[in-house]
Amino acid sequence: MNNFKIDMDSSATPQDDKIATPPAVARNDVALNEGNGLDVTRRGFLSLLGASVALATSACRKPVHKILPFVKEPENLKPGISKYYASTYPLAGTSYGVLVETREGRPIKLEGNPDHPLSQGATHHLAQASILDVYDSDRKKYPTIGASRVSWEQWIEVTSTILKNAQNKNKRVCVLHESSASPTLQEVLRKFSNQFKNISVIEFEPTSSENETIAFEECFGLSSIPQPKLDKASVILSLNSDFLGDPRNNVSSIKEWTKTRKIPLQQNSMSRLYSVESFLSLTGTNADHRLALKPSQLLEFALGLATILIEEYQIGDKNLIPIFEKVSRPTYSSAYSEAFLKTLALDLSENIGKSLVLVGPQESKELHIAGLLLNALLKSFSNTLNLKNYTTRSKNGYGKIKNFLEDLKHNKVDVLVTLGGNPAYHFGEAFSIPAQKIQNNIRLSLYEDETSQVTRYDAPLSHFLESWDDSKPTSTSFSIHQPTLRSLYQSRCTGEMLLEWQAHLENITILPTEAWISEIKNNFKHNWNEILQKGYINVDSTPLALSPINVSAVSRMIDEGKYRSFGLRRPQNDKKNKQDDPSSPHGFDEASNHNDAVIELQFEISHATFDGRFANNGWLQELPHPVTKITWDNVANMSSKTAQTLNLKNEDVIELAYGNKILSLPVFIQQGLAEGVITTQIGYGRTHAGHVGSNIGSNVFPLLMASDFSWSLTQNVSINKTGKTYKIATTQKHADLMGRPIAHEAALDDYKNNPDFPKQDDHSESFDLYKKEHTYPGHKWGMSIDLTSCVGCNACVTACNTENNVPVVGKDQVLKGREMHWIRIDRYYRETEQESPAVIHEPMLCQHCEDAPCENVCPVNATTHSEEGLNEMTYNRCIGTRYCSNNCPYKVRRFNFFDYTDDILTPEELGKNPDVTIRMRGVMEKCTFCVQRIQEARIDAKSHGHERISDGGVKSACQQVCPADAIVFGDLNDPSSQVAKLSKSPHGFHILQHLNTKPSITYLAKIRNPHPNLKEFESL
Amino acid sequence: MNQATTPEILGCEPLIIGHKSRAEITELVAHPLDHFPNKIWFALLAVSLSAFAIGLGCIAWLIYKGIGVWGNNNPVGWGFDIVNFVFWIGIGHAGTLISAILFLFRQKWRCAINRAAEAMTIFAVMCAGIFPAIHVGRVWFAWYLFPLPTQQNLWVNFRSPLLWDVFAVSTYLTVSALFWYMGLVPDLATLRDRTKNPVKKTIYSILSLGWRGASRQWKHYESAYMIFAGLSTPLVLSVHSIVSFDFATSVMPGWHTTIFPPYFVVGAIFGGFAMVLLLLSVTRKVFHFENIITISHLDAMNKIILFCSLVIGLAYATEFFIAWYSSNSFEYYTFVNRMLGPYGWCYWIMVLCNVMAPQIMWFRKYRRNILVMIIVSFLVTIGMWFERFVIIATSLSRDYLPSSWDMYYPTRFDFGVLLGSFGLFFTLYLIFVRVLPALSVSELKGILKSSNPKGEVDDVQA
Repeated sequence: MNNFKIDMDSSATPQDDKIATPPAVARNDVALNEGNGLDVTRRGFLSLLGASVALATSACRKPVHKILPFVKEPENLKPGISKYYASTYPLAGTSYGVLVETREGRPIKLEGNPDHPLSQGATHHLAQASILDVYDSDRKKYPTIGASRVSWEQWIEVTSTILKNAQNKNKRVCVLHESSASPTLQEVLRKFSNQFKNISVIEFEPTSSENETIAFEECFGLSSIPQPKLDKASVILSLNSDFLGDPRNNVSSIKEWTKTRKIPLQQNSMSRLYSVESFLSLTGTNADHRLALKPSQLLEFALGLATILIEEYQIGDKNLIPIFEKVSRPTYSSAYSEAFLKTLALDLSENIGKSLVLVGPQESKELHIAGLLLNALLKSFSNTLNLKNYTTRSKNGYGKIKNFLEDLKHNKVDVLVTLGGNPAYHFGEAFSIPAQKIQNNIRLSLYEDETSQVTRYDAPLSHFLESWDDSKPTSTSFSIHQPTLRSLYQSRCTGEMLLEWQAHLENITILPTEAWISEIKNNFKHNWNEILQKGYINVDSTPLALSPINVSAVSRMIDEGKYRSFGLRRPQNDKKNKQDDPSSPHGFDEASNHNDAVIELQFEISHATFDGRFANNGWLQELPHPVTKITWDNVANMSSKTAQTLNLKNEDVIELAYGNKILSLPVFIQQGLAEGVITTQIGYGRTHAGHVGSNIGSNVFPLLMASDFSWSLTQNVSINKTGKTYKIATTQKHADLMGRPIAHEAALDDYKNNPDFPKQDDHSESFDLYKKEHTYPGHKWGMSIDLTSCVGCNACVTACNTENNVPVVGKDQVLKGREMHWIRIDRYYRETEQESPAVIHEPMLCQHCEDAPCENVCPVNATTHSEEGLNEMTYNRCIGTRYCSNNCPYKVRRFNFFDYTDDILTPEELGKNPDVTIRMRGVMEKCTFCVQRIQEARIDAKSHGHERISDGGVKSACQQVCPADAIVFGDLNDPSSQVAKLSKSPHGFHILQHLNTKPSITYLAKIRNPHPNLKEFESL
Repeated sequence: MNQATTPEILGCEPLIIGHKSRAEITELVAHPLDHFPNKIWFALLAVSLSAFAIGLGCIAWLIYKGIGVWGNNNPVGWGFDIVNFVFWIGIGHAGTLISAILFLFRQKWRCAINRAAEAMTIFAVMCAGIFPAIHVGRVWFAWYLFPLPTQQNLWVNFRSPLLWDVFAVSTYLTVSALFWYMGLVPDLATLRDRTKNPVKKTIYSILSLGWRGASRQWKHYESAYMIFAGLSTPLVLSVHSIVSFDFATSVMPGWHTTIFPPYFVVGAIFGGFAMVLLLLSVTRKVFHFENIITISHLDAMNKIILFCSLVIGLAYATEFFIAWYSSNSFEYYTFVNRMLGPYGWCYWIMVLCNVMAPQIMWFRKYRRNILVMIIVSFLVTIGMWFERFVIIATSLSRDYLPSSWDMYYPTRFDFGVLLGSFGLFFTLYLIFVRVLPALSVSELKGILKSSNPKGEVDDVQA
């Protein structure tokens, strides 16, 4: 709680806050070092009183802000001109390169660094939304001891003394830190820990992929994991792996995967994706074939597949055969599951060396071993798994934490240092109760969060946009973080703090920022300037020397593995199983059907808050989940059959109990889940996230704790219906296409035979009363959106929010259908012959129609057509009749029902794009095709003596961010432009063509690549 | 006193029951104006004013906070605001029809009801006029709707039906008000001449514009009356046609139909007559006008209601037929959704009230039963309000892309403003019947037998 005391003459009151050393590269003239300013003296109070009276009496007009020129003009700083700095976006030990757009020293937008192999110019939604994080008014603003504010000097003095005492008296020091891909930080942390004899340094991420590392170590004896080369794989099997949705690697994954699915075909082939999963992930919605299983059935499936490959297709080492004799042949509960497994085995066996099996990072060690075995059988290593490019992650899972929490409980920790992270939220009372008792509890944190409540010495941590750092997420890529903003609050980054503590311990004086930079510089001796410019350098790495898979590890897994408990056994009666029992659920193995009543719980990483760290970010909270379209909540997803069995309806509140932990969640009926499976998202139920993120959803971590961070609970989950209901705010209430020709799709073979199929679906003839077509002598802006490439990742939605200052409206407004997103991704389910629906993601934004229905109905001419084919909104002229929105067949116009921007808290306004007007209440708004970017490009072209903007000279925000390169924007008048060519694609179509609105956006129909043996199940 | 038979027009019923002298007519009509209102009137006024005050409060909050206090949302940009607008504009139509079209057709029976109906028209249009003004997101810029030459050099968009509305409704209000006022002038002069109250005398003197009853004045008056009737007649048809263009010229399924103009006009007359019936059946009782607004008058109006109901029923059926016959799947779905979708109950209320309920008027017995006609008129008023709701809400809530479908739920502010509009309407009507003659005295005198020496009612040769 923020129960700061107004301390009149306490020595703890800082006299001067500005001694905190500014970072070396301070490009900012904005310093908000004042904090909450609650320590007001009597004199100060009186002068404030006088000032406010003076202001109140003369407040009849807006205060005049004068724009003053610089006394000393910083070099290269031109007001109104963006400057870009190469930096890195870090997330839970992974990272990729970004370019930070700054205006007058303030970062306002992130773009992917085109040179960085993990970004290739794109970013995901989290990076886009980080602009809101850095300017979050709820960030921790000053160091505190207990409840009182102190100066940095005091804070460092006190904490250094504590550490010194610990050093001298050999006290037990525990350093708990979050994962980072920074080698320099690792080095500094190592040096720091060397100062102590009795120290344990524990790295922790709740979303740790430790099991993957352990499995790899057991199978290959190495702790470095080769990275997938998705663009080299023809057949991909994903076992609960959401490689298209997981923000730790989805940017590069989407980039690479969609390269193999471009139409027209590259090398006359298209990759095929099979997805076997217990949730409905973004990857599952993009799979050509998908099988929904219970979490407990995944290992059976993987082993069953391996058995078929080894026994039927004689793939792999001979010595595997006896091991797999112990594994039963799979049995099938439906015709589809049988066909799926057999076809998958066939397809993989035909594509040896061109296949790839991906296992979800949070899955069990056993499933990872099975996945590695499959990859070994399919010769994926060195073919589709890059042995030169690998990651080396330390074990940051729950294993070490368990011991640490034990120690904490038994008062064996004397000094606790938490650097980032939020253990009180992740571990709950197991951490917070004993941590509260520790006197010497030191912490650096971005927010006053749950852990701050139990911390005595708490100091603000710098946001990554404010700090120096470096990052080596994989063996071949090395990038740098550079600050693009002077710390808004007096904050420091972890490296600076560690160095400063160390200097205190060694009784020397340093300038922490300079020292930290020089540590980083050590890594880039020759190419410091290059790295500052490019942000990224390619480093050579020695390829992993991979031995054949350790058969005994596989054997051990099969012998002792958990799979026995799933009831895998030899089929008793093969004939019986061949009968297709329609009433039997869509399970995979008959054997596990005997306990259908058993509810299995599957956890997912939150699309919005990740593990809860982004809970206070309104853009992310309001970002619809890419599959469920739910905002502002986590829910219990279950299939309609499960709900029926449990007698539950949508929005019923249930209590899920595991051990003595109870989780209360609203039910959300979701297609494509196996019967008996409930999935939910972590990262909600924060109690001290800030004014946006507190008390949203339910906290899943108690259950994860109770299960030792096992991401699926296959037993002992009980359900209790509470009788209460709870409103879930979704942005799309109807998922069915209603047979309307608005999202065309075809199988690859059908497309080859009949490439212009979408045009045949639309029978309408174009008839125009106006004989003469309107001509556009200059540019005519248009866009093409490739539905085959679009995976629905939401990056464009957040990029648009950032670029166009789209307001956050809150859950109550989303419930009323008043979300403001200018671009949305419509997600449609199509019924298929199996239970998993076929999914189409269709980005929907203003179509900039040539004959726009919105334009002629506006009584005041507030929305008009530009000479370049843009449908423009004039906010100043708009009176808000909403007639244009009613008459828009695409319903892409957004009305400001309230003043959605009046509650922007300082300093959030610093992150707004100064080129885009903030809209007041009562006006309509919508996609502008990033007209501000077009204007910028026009000025740029003119100043370079060009008459026209060249193709690619202007990119819309959604296009620039798109990892799938699904969106192409440009000049339709230029026949050589990419968009003009794509718009003429045979499978291009306009949505609602028959209305003759003549949209400027051409959609390219979705092409799927089903296996011929399974096509009947997809009903294409 | 002339003892000749009273003129007849409604079949074989007399226009005015009994043998009334001119003085008696004047006395009867002026009676409410001469006496201080009783407690019931004040109670009714208090109720109406309270409702109006609630509406004003809601509007004040709306303007302070934004359109968001209503239930309007993204697919459903218009809700109660435009529903109420169309509803009130429709109510007004009966008055104009009675005063203008029935005048041109020499329907003398209109003399008993035209004053009240015209007053109702003006009050209804005033209620209607609130909604286009307050439904805009930025009320303080609503003047952009008028083609005012400013330095901005910005002009209104003449292609927008909403702009046509602005002209249609403002013309309608102006013409109706002038027509009504002109009809009042001889009566105001009568009142001026008989009152002894100096304040009243002054007011009536000013308002009667120096009317002396000279034949020259009567000649001018009657020509002007004819011109106004001629001007108003096309307005009866045009105003609601133009209102229907708001919908018909759009691209929304369920809106984009050519049947809308006639369908809306008939609907408006239908709803308007129901409201006139409601008001007059009470007014005649309270002010003892039974002998002037006779049961035969009400019978005639019930016949019009029955006729309109049949036309409306036909329009509903035609819409469905065309939706099916056109093979337009979007259109077809919209109409199925109207009947069976989430707003299906509104649709069935509409059908029950507008098509089913008036069928009772086939029977003379019920046409002449005050209670039955009050119930039917009440149902029709509800039904016509729901008709507009069904048209607006069902089409918008489920249009082309299923992804954007969403429901519209009105809030208490929606209901508050609706209540307020009724409050305003009844407040104005209650004041009207107490300060102005509710019946047209001079015209009633014109249909007295005694006013025509030749014993003919109609002194204009056919």
